[in-house]
Order: sequence, then structure tokens, then C-alpha cells
Amino acid sequence: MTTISIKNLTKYYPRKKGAVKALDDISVEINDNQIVGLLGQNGSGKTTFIKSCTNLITFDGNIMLECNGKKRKLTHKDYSAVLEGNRNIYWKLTALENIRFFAGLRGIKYSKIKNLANDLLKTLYLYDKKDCLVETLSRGMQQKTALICTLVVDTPIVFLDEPTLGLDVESKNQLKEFFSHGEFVKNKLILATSHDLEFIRTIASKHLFIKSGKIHDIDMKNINNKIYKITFDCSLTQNTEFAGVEFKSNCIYVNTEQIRLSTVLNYLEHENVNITDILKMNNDIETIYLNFIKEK
Amino acid sequence: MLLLKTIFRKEFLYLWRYKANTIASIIFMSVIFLGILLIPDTFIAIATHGKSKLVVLGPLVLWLIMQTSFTSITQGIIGDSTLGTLEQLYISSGGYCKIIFLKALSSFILNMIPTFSIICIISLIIKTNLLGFLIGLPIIILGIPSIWGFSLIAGAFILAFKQVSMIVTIFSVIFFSGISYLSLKNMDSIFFHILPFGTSNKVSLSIIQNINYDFGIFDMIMIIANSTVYLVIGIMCFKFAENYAKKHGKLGMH
Repeated sequence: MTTISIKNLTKYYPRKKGAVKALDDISVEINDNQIVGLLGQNGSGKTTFIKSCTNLITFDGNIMLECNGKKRKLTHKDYSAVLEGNRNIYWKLTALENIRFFAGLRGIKYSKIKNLANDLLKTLYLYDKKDCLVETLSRGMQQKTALICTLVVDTPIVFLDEPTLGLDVESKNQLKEFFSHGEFVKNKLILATSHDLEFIRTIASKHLFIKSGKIHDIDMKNINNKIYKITFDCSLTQNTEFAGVEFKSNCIYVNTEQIRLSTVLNYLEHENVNITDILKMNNDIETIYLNFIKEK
Repeated sequence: MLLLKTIFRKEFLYLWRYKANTIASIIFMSVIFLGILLIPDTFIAIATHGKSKLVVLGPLVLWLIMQTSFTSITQGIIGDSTLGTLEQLYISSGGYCKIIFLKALSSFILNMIPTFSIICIISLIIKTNLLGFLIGLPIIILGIPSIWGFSLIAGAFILAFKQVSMIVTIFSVIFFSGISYLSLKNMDSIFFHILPFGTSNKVSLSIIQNINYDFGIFDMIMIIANSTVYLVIGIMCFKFAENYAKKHGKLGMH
């Protein structure tokens, strides 16, 4: 069992007009065998958080790796990362040469990772392009090459900073598929930041929201995703008989976890209400995220 | 060893991918060398107060070595910052210093092979004795770490302040031209020994020019001390700049 234990992580960037607080006393634990999605607006501290974990910036606080009851500092051998997507790799080298280069930097011979590299190239639909210069590949392919360079070294922890940035729908879906069902991400701790809420919702098993340098752990399992909005062309008075129905002026919100939708529809028909619209509320990660960033 | 092999391979591939650039610089170098060697002796003798062509060619080759060794580090840092690979190199290796050293070493080897090949070919074609260049090579190699140390000091400024690359380039051209010029003056002051590559420059130039120079243990100690001191200062400055950049979140920015 591997856990990243972060305690009182604080980062101030010294600036001429006074220090800017980027991370504000963050304490969080992240376990292995899970994909963690870190969501937040621009400037909320996502990249600073990853850079702190990867020792690319200095910070106050502790980031420790807890493994089999022993605690120690994170070293570069524990993690790999994709930080700037397609800018992380050398464009004048081929995809395979990049893979070989970044593995070599970690002291890993190509012969040891050849099979894994080929499997990853095939899974991410890049095998045919493995000998093409990165500069000739599309943005999505470059991004996937950077991802392979990161995964091929097989570290227990992987950080991904905005892996879907600038990707088309097809590439995004390929990545979703890769992270959701891929054997290559098993037994790893993956922390991914993204503005793509749908991507994070699909791949992540744990969701962290970050705002003004503070992290909030959102338990998505408790989020009710079964609310319907029924709109009509008249007004109804509140009927207290129905638990799970919220009456508004010309609409009602039905929580189908508490009451059957058909029961409410029968009631409305009985009341001779002319229904104009029935909408399943998108009360998912997007709504929660938007509510979260609106909160003071 | 694997790290050196990996970096050497990448440097070679980059030279290969920029074929036109590489070939153009080899041709340019050959033309300059040939040009100097084909100038009639009388013209050279007038310009150099009766000395041989090697008085011109020697400092030029040494200047070229100093400049390329210096820029291999500074341009490497600028390149990695601009490309966005600098932070990736940090993460992949746990440090950047050893990577730029190996990069500089690879670059030195890859630059020296064509340079000395050209010298040898030219000396065979025009039947001039340029053996001094090969004899002086060990002295050059011993002195090169001082240039790397010096360029790490410049690299520290680049890492911390970013937009100083042009200033560093202009400074390096003037500085190394100055060293080459001073070495021509046959100076024997302690000041010359303090300069990066100072003693190496002086000794190797004497060997190249076939001057009967009395190379002793003092010179050897000075060359090694010069290299060691500059290298240590360079690493210290670079580490300091690295911490500064990490504190300000400027490591990968350019």
C-alpha cells in the first residue's frame, strides 16, 4: 500500500508587489491504485500542487511517501509526469527515440522496456507512427507520445497536468478509454489535473477540487444524480404529501431516489396540469464544480 | 555510462536532424582554415611581425573550442527552457547539472571530431605541419572543465533571470576573443592564469605554434586548479540559481 501523505503544504511565490499565496496549508492523503482528478480554475494552484509534489518548486510543509508502514521523502524514482503535454518531448526526435531517451535518463535500458513501449504504442494507436519525427505528428499524437514516455518508466506515481489540453474528441476518447480500462494504469497512483470535467469524471475514482490554493475532497458517491425538473404552464401550491418533491412557481424538482417519477406525473395529470417540459437535471460533476467555485 | 550514451545519442541525432546546419558550419570552418593557410607567407609575416600562419590559426581554433564549449551549456539551458523539456529533464533524472555536463561532454566530442578531422585533412592537402594541434589536445581537454564551470555561472543567470541569453552570448564572444588576444601577447602575468582556460590556452597555443615552451609541473597544477576552481564555483552558482528559480517558480519558464 503506497500513500502520498501531504501535510501543511503551503507555497508563496515572492513577487515585487508582495508574496502571492498559491497553496494554502493543504493536507491530504492519496492512496495507490486510484486515479485522482484535481479540478480547479486557472490560477487555483493545480500546477503548483503538482510541481510541489515533483520537487520543481520549493515549498513549506511535508510531502511524504508512506510505503509498507515506512515514511520517506518522495524522490524522482517514485514518480514520472507529463507537465506541458506535447512540449515535454523533443520534436526533432521520433516517438521511439523520445521513449528511449527518457527511459535512458532514468538508467533504464531500452531492451528492458521494449515490449511495454510497443504495447503502449499499440494501445494508444501510435505504433505506425513510432518512427516519425514528433514535429510531424498531430497535437494529440504528441501528447500521447509524452504520455508513453512517462508511463514506460513504470513508476508507482504518475502526475498528469492537463493531459487533454488541445486534444480533439477522438484523442480525448482514446485517453478516456486508456485510463478507464487500461491495464497500464493498474496499481498506480495517478493524479491528473484538467479543465475537462467529463474526462475527470470518467477516469477518476477520487475527486479533489482546488480553489484559492485550498483543496477540498469531494465524495462523488454521495452526489444525487437523479433529479428531474418538470415545468408546466400554471402554478401549483406545495403538496406536503410528497417527500422528495420541491415545488417552485411553475415547476417542480423531483428526487427519484425518494419518489417515483410516475407517481408525480400521475398526480400532475390528476391536477390537470399541462406539462411543458421534463428535464433530467445535470446534477453531476459539472454542477457541483460550478457550485463549488461560486461558493465563497 | 548509460546516461552518457543516452545523451550522446540524442546530441548526435540532433546534429544529424539539422544536417544542413551541421554541414554548413563544417564547410565554413574548412573555408576559414584553408583561407588562412593559403594566404601567402609574406602577407602573414607582415601582419604578424614575421611569425608563422599558426599564430593566426592557433588562437582561432582555441577561440572556436572555447566558444562552442561555452555555448553548448548556455544554449542547452536556453533550448530546454524554450522547448519545455527542462522540467521533464529534472523529473527524469532528479537533477539537471549532471545532464548538462554530459550534454557538454557529448557536444565537445561531436564538435572536436570534425574540427580536428578538418585540420588533419587540410594539413595533408597543403602539406603543412599541424601536428601541434593534436599534441596540444590533451592540454585543451584538461582546461575545458574551466569553460564548463564558467558557462555554468552564465547558465545560473539564464536560469534565474531568463531574458539574458543575448547578453550572455555577446559577453562570451567578447570575453573569449579577449582571452585569445591576450594569449597572442604572450603574457606571463598571474592574471592570465586566473582567467578560465587561461593557462591551457597559453600552453596549448605554444605547442600549436611549435614554440619551444618549457611546460612544467607548475603549468599542469595551474591548469587542473583552474579547471577545478571554475567547475566548483560554476556548480555552486548553478545550484544557487536553481534554488532561486524553484522558489520563484521560474524553473521551466522562458
